[in-house]
Amino acid sequence: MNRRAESILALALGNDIIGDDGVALDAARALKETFSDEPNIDVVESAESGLALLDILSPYQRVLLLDSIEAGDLPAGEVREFSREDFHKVLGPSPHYAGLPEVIALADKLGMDFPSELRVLAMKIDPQEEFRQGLSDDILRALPDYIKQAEQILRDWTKNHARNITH
Amino acid sequence: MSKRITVDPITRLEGHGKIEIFLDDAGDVERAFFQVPELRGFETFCLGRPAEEMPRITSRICGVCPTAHHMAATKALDDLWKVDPPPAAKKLRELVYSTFMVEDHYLHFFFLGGPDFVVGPTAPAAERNILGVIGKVGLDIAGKVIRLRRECRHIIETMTGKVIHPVFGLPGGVSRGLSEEERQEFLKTTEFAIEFSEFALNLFDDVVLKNSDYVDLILNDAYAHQTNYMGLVDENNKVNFYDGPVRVVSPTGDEIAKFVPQQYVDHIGEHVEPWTYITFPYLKKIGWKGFVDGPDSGVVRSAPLARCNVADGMATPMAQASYERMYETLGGKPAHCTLAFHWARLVEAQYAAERMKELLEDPEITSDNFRTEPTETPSEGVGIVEAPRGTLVHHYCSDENGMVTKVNLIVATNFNSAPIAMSVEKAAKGMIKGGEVNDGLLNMVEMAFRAYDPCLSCATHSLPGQMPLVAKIHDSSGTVIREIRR
Repeated sequence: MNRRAESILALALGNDIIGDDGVALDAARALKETFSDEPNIDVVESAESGLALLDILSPYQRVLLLDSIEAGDLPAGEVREFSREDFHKVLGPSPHYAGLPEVIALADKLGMDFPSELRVLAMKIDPQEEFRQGLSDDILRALPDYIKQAEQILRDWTKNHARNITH
Repeated sequence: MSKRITVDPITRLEGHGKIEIFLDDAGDVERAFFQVPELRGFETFCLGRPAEEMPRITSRICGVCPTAHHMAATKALDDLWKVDPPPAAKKLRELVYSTFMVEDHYLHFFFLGGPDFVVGPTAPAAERNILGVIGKVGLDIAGKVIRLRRECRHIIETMTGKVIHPVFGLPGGVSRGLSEEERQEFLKTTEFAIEFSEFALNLFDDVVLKNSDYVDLILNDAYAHQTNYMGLVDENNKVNFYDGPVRVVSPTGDEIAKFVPQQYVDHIGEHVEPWTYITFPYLKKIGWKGFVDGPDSGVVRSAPLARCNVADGMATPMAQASYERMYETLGGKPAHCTLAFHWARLVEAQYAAERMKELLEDPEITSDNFRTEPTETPSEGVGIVEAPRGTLVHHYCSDENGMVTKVNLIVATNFNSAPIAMSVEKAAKGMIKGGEVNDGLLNMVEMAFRAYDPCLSCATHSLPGQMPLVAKIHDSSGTVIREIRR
């Protein structure tokens, strides 16, 4: 894929047969509808991690990563935001982007294309113990706000893009 | 006062795992456990679903080896419907599978297991990662690893639609054929893959085999177990990843079983322990004798070195030469050195690269006859492939409408679960003495684990991930008296 100027990716990570682990995928499906007419925004669902993210992320200038985390004492449904700079620190354990610091460092080291802006919206979920489809009540209640936060970030990016073109 | 050390979760592995080490009053290791507290219920999740969806459902078990699950499931469906795919379909499946093996084996060597040798087992923890490997081998090589991985994934994606959730295998064949244009394009990748396989083995030579400390470590008894071995072989008893009977050899290398997939229940039992969800497969003929090795052991290992141990050789010329050289250095067959799994992995990757080329040069692979329609009533089917991490068994039963009524999966890390537990304990006992526990020593314990390339995602049906390491040392009252965090 060729790298496109001002291209934006909303990348949702998760597994839709592990209950709340799939919350980001549900959010992505809503975002796909909202931004279906926006040519600069791609919304992608993936169950991949680690190096595979390099292939997915590299064609884009800006990336919003949606994910779930099982870290800390946060109540289920709480959302935390991270930026690319935060990946210099140790992140809480996530099954999906725990390898992201290495991926970023690798891209930098190899001089590969990589998004200039990377933000992560991670929703706290309780540990999932069994395979099942569907979200728990706590996560379902938190989902609309999660989607709104993601929409806001994507809208801000597209507005900035419009201003850049005007200037 | 006795101490308890917890290594939780294990670094640079896909999935969650925990090692617990108990020290006695003298500070020596009394016991060590390998624990997996993870997801359950995948088999139940599948019940009542259409069997033909199994290749797509099982590939969702984890993000690490979806292709292996997809292929084992597809073969189980062939058997469920008693349908024999046309030759071109088998070759296309094996092409995809060989490509996957190339990608996965090099990912493990350079990114997960490689840092232990390329950077060094006692190097500072901050350097024992892919960036440390790059620092040692150079940017150019790292770029080649990335390129090879990308080209392999392109082949898989072209053939299966998606790398992570492939849509390719069908009962009796595959969903698409291969065009002449694609064949020509893929052949270029095989040239690069074969060239890279030589480089990787030369690198292993230069960095590992020319370092006597590393060779001593590989041959160290702390990393050795005399177990049985299992793996698929072809009609000439050569290593095969996609098809063939399962061959089992004893710790002395004698063939003690050779069976077709449908007979696995006659040969493989699964032992259960109360402290872990993971099961411990063993040879029924010998019985479960506990976590012990030696001539009476029922424990059987799978994965790269095990496959090499059960086979009479490799089916391609370069890999065969590499195979012979490996056993010359290791002192003959079977080799019991757990750390030599890394070496065998490189030999296997070379075979996979050569096999890709062989398959692509076969004129039949572009045939448009790539599906035999099933006509039988489905009932029961077993599919076995060799996943990068070892033997993978899918076993399904269905009603006459093809709805799943029973599922049993034995994944590669299951087969290696008892050996891993034994290897961790033996390495811990060999490395930790007199209460001296530091980051380097703990890493050397973990190396026993990492050599198996275990995918706990599959073993416990959880998700993949790379986790930080926390080592906690408890006294006999359970109080944390020391914590090592990486």
